[in-house]
Parts: sequence; C-alpha cells; structure tokens
Amino acid sequence: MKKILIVDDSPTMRRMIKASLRTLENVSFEEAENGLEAIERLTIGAIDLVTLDINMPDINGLEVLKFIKSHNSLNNIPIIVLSSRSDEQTCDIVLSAGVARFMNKPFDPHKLNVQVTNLLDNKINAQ
Amino acid sequence: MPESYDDIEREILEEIADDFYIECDERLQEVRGDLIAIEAFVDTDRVDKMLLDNIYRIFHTLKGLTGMMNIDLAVTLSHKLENYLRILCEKKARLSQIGIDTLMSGTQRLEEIISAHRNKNFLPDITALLSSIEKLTDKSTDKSTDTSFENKVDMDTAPISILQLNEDEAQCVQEDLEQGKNLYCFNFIPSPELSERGVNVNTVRKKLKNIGKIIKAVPTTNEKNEISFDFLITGSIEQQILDQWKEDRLTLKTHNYKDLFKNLFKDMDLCENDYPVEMKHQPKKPDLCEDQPVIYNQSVNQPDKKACYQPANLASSNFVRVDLSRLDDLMQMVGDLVIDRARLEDHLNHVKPTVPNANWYMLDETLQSLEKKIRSLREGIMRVRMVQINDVFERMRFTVRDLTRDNRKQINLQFIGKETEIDKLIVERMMDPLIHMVRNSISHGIEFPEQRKKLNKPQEGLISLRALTSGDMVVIEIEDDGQGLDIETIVQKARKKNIIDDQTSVNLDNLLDIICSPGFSIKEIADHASGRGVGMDVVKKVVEDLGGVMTVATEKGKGSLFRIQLPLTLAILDALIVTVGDQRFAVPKLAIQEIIEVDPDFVTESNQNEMILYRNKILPIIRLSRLFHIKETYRRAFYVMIVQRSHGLIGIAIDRVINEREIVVRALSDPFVNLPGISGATEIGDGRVVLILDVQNLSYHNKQSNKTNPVTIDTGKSDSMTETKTPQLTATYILFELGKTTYGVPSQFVRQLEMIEDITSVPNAPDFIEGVVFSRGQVIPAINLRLRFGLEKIEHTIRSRLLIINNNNRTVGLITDTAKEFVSITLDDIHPPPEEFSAINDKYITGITKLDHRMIILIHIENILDLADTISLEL
Repeated sequence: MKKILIVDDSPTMRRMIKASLRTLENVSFEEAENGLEAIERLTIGAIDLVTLDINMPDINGLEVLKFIKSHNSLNNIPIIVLSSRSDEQTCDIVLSAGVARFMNKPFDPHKLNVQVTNLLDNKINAQ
Repeated sequence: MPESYDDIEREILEEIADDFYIECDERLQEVRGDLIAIEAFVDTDRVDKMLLDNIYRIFHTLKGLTGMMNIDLAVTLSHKLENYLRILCEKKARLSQIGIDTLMSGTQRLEEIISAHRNKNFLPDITALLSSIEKLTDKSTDKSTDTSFENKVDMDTAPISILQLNEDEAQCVQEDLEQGKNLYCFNFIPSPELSERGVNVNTVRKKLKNIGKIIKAVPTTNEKNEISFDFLITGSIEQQILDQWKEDRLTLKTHNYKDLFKNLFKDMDLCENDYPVEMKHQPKKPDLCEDQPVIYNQSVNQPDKKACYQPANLASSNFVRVDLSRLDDLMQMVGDLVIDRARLEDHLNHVKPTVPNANWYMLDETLQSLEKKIRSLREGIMRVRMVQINDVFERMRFTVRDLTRDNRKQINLQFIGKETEIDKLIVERMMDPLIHMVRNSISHGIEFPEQRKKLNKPQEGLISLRALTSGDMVVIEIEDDGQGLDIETIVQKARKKNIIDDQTSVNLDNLLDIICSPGFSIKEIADHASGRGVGMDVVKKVVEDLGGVMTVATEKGKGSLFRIQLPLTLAILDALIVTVGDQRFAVPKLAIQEIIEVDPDFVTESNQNEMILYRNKILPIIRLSRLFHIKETYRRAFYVMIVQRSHGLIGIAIDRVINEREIVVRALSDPFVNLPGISGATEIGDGRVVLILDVQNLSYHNKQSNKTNPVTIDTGKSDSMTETKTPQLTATYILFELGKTTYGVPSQFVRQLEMIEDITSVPNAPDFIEGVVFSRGQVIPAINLRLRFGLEKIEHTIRSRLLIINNNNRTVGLITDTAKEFVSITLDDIHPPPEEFSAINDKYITGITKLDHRMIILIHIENILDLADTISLEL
C-alpha cells in the first residue's frame, strides 16, 4: 500500500487531487492543510509521495520544500509541486530544489494521474 | 469503451462542485470580515499586515478554485483583486477609502458571479468594476513587475530559522511589545504517540493562538536530528500552563534570544531576563477586545483605534464536511425510530395484563432505556446540524457597513449570545429576514446624529442583536434605541390601504399584524436599502413556517424591540394529543401557554363569538368542533388551550387532552390538504394519521391560506407516453374498475397498489377527497374517483384498492373498486375522447382504447393531480 500525502489549504483542491488519483490501485491518501502539518506527517513516516501547494498560510510551500530537501530522512520522497504561480522565478526556485515534478494549477487530472503513477512505479523499480 | 479524459474531468468537477461552493462561501465570508477589520486603517500606514496578507491569499485561492471550475469571469476578477492586494502588501500604495470600497464591491461581485454560475443565471457585468481596480493598481508608486513579493526563497541556503524576522514581522513584534505583551519562543516536538493522543502541530497551533498571536512558525532540526517546530508568539501566559504544556512536549526555548532581539529592537527598553522577552516598564495592558462593539461611521476616521476583530478560522482538518441532506436522512431515520418505539410501547401496553409482573418490569425497563437512547441519538444528530448564530450576526456587520455608507447615520452594532447554537436550517431561513429587520432599524428606526444629539441620545444609534436558548426554544431579539414605530403614520397608512377599517383601533397587539401585511411598507418607494424582496410579511411567514412566534414592543422616541421565538427541533416536537369529537389532533407543546378547564356557563356569546374571562382579560375562544365541522360530543365542561398569538392570547376549545407525546412532523406538502389551521401530519403509533394543528393560524375568518399553492405540474415529458405520436409502440398500463367501467393508468406513474385502510378524513376538504393515508413514510391524499366521476359512493370491499400514483414529487392515492391487471397497450390504438363526453370527464381522460373487446378509458395523470389547484381556489 502506497501512501500519498496531499498538502493544500483548500479542501476542494485536496478533494480534486484525490479524485484525479482515484484509479490508482493500492494507494491511500493523507491530507495536510498547512506546511507544518505536512512536515509533521512526513516525520511520523511512511509517505511515498507528496503533492505540495505553494500558496499556504503561515509558512509557504517554498520554505516547506527547502526544509524537506535539507533533511536527510525526507529528501528522497518524490514531490510534485502544484502551483498557480506560473512565473519563472518560482519555477526556477522549485526546480532547483530538485522536486520530481512541477505542475501548474489548474491541472489536468489525467496528467496528474500519469505523473503520480510513473513516480510511484519508478520508486518501486529503484528499490 | 473507456471514458474520454474530458468525461473524467467533467465527472470530477461535478463531484467536487459542492465542496467548491462551500469553500467559496467560507473564503468570501472570511474576506468580508478581514475587509471590515482593516477599514479602520484607511489612509494610514498602520494596516495590519497579517490581515492584508490573508486577504491577498484568499483572492489567490479563489482565483485558483474558480479557474478549476472554468468560471473565467471570476478568475479575471480575482486576479485583478489579487494584484491590487499585492501592491498594498508590498506597500507600493496606501489603502484609501476608494480602495476599501472597491475591494468590498469586488468581493460582492465575486460572490454574485459564483452564485450566478451555480444557478445558471446571467453573469453580472463587471467592466466598470474592473476598470476601477485597474485605476487603483495603476496608482502604485512603483511600477516594477516584481511578481513574487513573498520572501524570495533561496534553495541553496539553510532553511529559515525562527530568528530571521523580516521587516513586517519585526514591526509586529515591536508594536505588541509596546502594548505590554511578552515575546515567547516555543518549541514542539511531534511524535506518533503524541499524535495518537490527539496532540499534533495543529492542536499546538490552536493552543498558542488562544494565548496570543503567532508571529512566525518554522520547522527546525535539532542536534539529535529530530524534527520539531519553533513558534514565535506575542501574548501573555501563566507559569502553570507552561508547566502543563511541557508534558505535551511544547516547551519554551530558553536560549539567549534576548541579545538577538536586542539588536532587532535597538530602541526598546527590554528586560534582562532570557525569557519571556518583555519591556522593562510594562505599559498599561489594553482591555480585552472580545465583545466590544465595533463602531461604523464614515465621517470620523479613528486611526488610533485598532479594530479588535478575530478573523474566522479556516476549518481545521479535524472537521468533516457533511451534506445537509445526509443529516436530514439521519433525522428521518431517527424519526422512524421514535414512531416505532411508540408503537412498541402501545403494543406492550396491550399485552401487559397477560405478562407476569417480573417480566413486565424488565420489558418496561428496556423500553425506558430505549427511549433514553433514542432521545440521545436524536439530540446528537441535531447537535451536528447546529451552527453558531454568529454566522448570521457576522453577515450583519457587512450589511450595516453597506448601509451606513449611503447615509450618515452612526450605528453601534452589538451582539449578545453569538455562540448560541441553532439548527443550520433555521440559520439559513432566518438569514435574510434578520438582515431585513436590521436594515429597517437603520433606515427607519435610528435617527440622524444631529437629531439624536438634540434628543440627548448618544450620537451612535445602538442596535442590539441577542440570541439565547431556553429549553427547546431559541429566542432572537433585535432592539434599537431609535425613534420607535410611528403608530399614527402606520395607522393612516393601513387605513388608506384598506388593511384595517376606520373603526379598528391599533395597539401593540395588532401592530405587528399590520406591519406584516403584504403590501404594507413604511416608505412609499422602497429605497435601495430595504427593497430587496424581503418584506415584513415574508419575515412573518418564515417565522411561522419554522413554527415560531414574533412579537414587537415599541415606545415612541425610545426605540423598538422585535422578539422571535423559534423551536429548536424542527422535525421532532413534543406535542399534546387532544380530542375533538371523535377526531384526534396533535398540538405542539411550544405553542401552548396553559390549558384550563372551562364550565360552559361561564362562556359569553355575542354574535357567534365566544369568549371567557381569563385572568381578568377577555379571551376569545375558537371551537375546533365548529371550525372543522366535527360533531360535538356533549360535555359538561371542556378544555381550552391558551395560545400566544402576535396580537394577544386566544383560547382554542377542545374536548380533552389524551396524552403528551413526541411526534415526528411530516410535512403536508400536497395542495389537497393545504388548509389553514393544519401545519402537518404525524403518525402516533397505531398507523393512523393525526393532523397537527397550526394554532397560530386557526380562525373562523380565514383569508386564503398563506401557503403558496405549488406550481402546476410541468406537463412536458410525462405526457409523451400517452400521446399517439410518440416513437414507442406500446406501453404498459395498470387497469382498475369503477362501477362497470375499466380505466387505465400508465404503469410508470403507479408506485404501488394497496389495500384500503385507515383513511383519516381531513376537515373542510372537498367531498371527493376522502382523506389522507400513510404510505411508505409519506402522507398522501386519497381521492374517491367515484365521487369525482359522478358515481355514487360505495363501501370499500375486500377487493377495493388504493392505487398510488406519483409524478414529479406529487403523490396521490386513487380509491378504486378493484385493480389488478397489467396490460400492454399499443399506442396507435388509442383514440382521443369522443365529443359526446361531458366536459368534466373530458379533462381527466386522455384517450380510449379497445383491448380484447373491452373499452378502456385512459386517465390523464396530470389533470387528476391538478384537481387540487382548481378545487382549493374555490374554497
């Protein structure tokens, strides 16, 4: 069973992401609505993939990303950043952090599905 | 064939539509609140940065959400609003009055666009609004297009630490320290065990928010490589609590922050201790802001007063969103449980004589326990539907602000009891009526400041909204200290409009009735403030529909007080079962003030009106037996239920009270039984329907019932089956007989066939409506077609059947001599009714066909169901 952590402060968006990934087999979902909660969940463990929103209260997604990448135990979990900020700067920052994927919001559910599937499969192969 | 990706996407969008609308609602509400809070800082440099930030992010989120749902207009608008907010956040422009107004209009329009999208209406035109926003953004001093004003994050450096405050955060801390608050740095180490206990970073955040303001929160790693969270808080807290929190691994960081902060706040006179960081000479602590009224006025800018407003908290993930309809289903199930339990009790009582005492005792005990548990279950479910009335009150702020913008009145809006919880349905129904009443207070009640000054009243008019629960009632009061209701003008008005005649005197008792008459409005031209489709007549109707009572008290020059009493439980009521003749009725306990026994000798009659002396006042009496034409059984003494109406007390005469019972209210939504005085039906355990009296509307002189007649059924697609030009060749019909004639109805409209049992007659109904029956949890009328078709009524036999037909939410039972055949009829064989048929029958017949040498007359379903409309108009 693979666990996907969905990080977004909008319940509607979290639901949308879950719905897009509904067809995946053997997957369960966890949700976090802010960066702190996301990091906490990651610490408690066993997350196989993260979808991360940038625009969140208290601590924005970029800081969260930075923190995750700086921590040994966390930095090999594949992360898909979903963001409605499409400016180059944000894009560069994100990619330089070495995330697995960057997708724009509003996203195409099918594309997300494909990306997640690939990333999860790659992980299995890599093990 | 696999679904196309477009299909999948559409499916997903449909699925999340509900969540989308709910979330938009919540976000817009939050923005409204935040906008009101920052309004106090117009034209200053001291706008609360956190609030601005929050508003910016909400518009950004709304942009994303509406983008997902492809509402392009909303995306454009949110984008523009977001841009303006960014400029404000970056301090490239100052918040002006026009700025706030535009933002508020923008929020309003955004809501309208989303609502229009939902109801598939035309979208509003926002070109003017968009250009206003453009003008504002163009005014910014710095034209650079720096798009990411949030802390530029450099991925190559170490993650941010709690000590790295940016300009705004430092400013926040400085201001709070100056106000006498302390600065703390907390650290929380999460773990799976703590999480299982319910202690996680979210709960910690809430705890901290309760004692102060969170300036900053960051994740951090300690020497042991453990991940933990640092929080920087301004506030004040006692040592006791600090000790408690240590158990949950929430501790104060005691490093040498003082030095660091000394550098940040060079000019401040900080204490020598390591923690908490505080000022050497503590300035006077400000008063708690919780329930302080927020004052609105345009003329006086108060830059020194900080609006003490707590923005609504976003729903934490400890909550579950529930569709109200699911809760309704649960309530229905509980309702059925209540009925079954009552039935069980009845049956048990019947067998009591045959059961040995010991067994009986156990049975009884179990029954009691069951009752308690059902009650708890019911309360539990009701609690789930409860929301704080604060939701409604918060909307008021916005309304008041809107109104005081247009006139120069100064209003002080006070909320008392905003945590009072009431059923969500009540909140939704009462939202508009309450807003309307507050508008009225502002428009017609509160005087202009100059006038108030002359009258020695404080310049700000005081409007108080109070809510409190008492027993299973909730009481909502709206009081103002304005000029009170002008009774003279009202009387003149009412006489001119023929609402009352010249003879009738107007006093507090009938004042409310007059104001709430349809067509009565205080200003000749409904001004923009009050003209929105909600009038006092609608307010009254909503209150009554909810089973409540409204009263008014007013004093010239002093003010007015409107008081609304509503039952908390909508679906399940405590009621008294009473008898009148051989009929039983249920009366909601809430409505009855007292029941007294009356000796007929003491009843005075005058001109067909009866009355008695009750507590030295004259109490008019309505006899249910007379009202409903029920044969009276001779009684020496009878009972009178004293009921509070808007214009005073009234007595309703009944034979006696049988018992008290919890009843489940089932709405009587069918026009057949849409009669004044009856508000619903219930079933009390023996399978028979008992009608629920609407004691507020019982009267000998009944104007047409206030309940609107339902719209006539759309005869669109359902007629296609019986028209001869349909593409289908045959259709299935169910045949029934009346006398020697065979009739048929399309089987698609037939829900079921039942034996004829237990028809409860309905008072004052047309003769062909034999009454109502209970079927599958629904109360439906039973039509005696024989009578309608001019045949004589006969006794029901064992072959008689009740044919239950159903179309578009209308369900009706037809009493037939017999019914059992299913046949297939070729549509081409159906002929229209011949000319010789009398007009009456023609309407109900859609065609005639021949089947095996039989003539079958086909019933027009719509017109049978429509019978009701024409008939009730004749009443």
